[in-house]
Amino acid sequence: MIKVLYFGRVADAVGAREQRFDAPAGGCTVAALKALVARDESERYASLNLPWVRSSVDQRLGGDDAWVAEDSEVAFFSPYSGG
Amino acid sequence: MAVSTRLATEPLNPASELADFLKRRDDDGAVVTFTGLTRGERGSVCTLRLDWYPGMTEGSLRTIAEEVSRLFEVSDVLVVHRGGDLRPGEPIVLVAVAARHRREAFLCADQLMDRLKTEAAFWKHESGPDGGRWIEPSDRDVRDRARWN
Repeated sequence: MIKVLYFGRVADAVGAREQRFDAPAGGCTVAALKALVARDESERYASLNLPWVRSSVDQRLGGDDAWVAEDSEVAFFSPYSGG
Repeated sequence: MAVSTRLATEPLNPASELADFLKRRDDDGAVVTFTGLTRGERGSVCTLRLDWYPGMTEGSLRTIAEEVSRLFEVSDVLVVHRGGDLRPGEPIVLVAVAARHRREAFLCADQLMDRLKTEAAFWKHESGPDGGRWIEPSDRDVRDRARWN
């Protein structure tokens, strides 16, 4: 099971803070996870592909080609506001 | 040198933090502190909410404090940052730096705040009578941060 978290403007756009998805066997890339998340509701999750959206896998910043293991925690978020 | 960082979800008390930080300073000649307050923007902001990513946000505070403190001859550094809902006038961040000499303490605290203002892993949302909006670092914050490049 992959845990997906949303922060900032992305959480507003998606209308959720946390979701869980069945992982593809062996894991997948962040790009493939985005497609999986948006599979049935492409409009709701359109913001995941906006250029300013950042992502992390197990709290390490990365891009669309970062690898997501079957039990990873993935976050999608808008740029940090700073403190 | 000790670098201490903390994400606080309860109201921050700068006076008590400073009182603790001032103890056992026989070899230091300076302690510089900075307290950031939540701005009400003349009534347009009622609540400022700071969302954080447990683990990642604390890590960003620690990384910033450790990297900056290595650049200066300082004895100890303390960063306490609020998360959650804040009202205008409430302390949002406290930075304290102890050093043998004041100049290093001033510079370290200054750079720490510029890094925190642009790089700390928070998402800030302000709400008021006219609705709400997400906040991103201002042009001034970015220029201040660039002074240290």
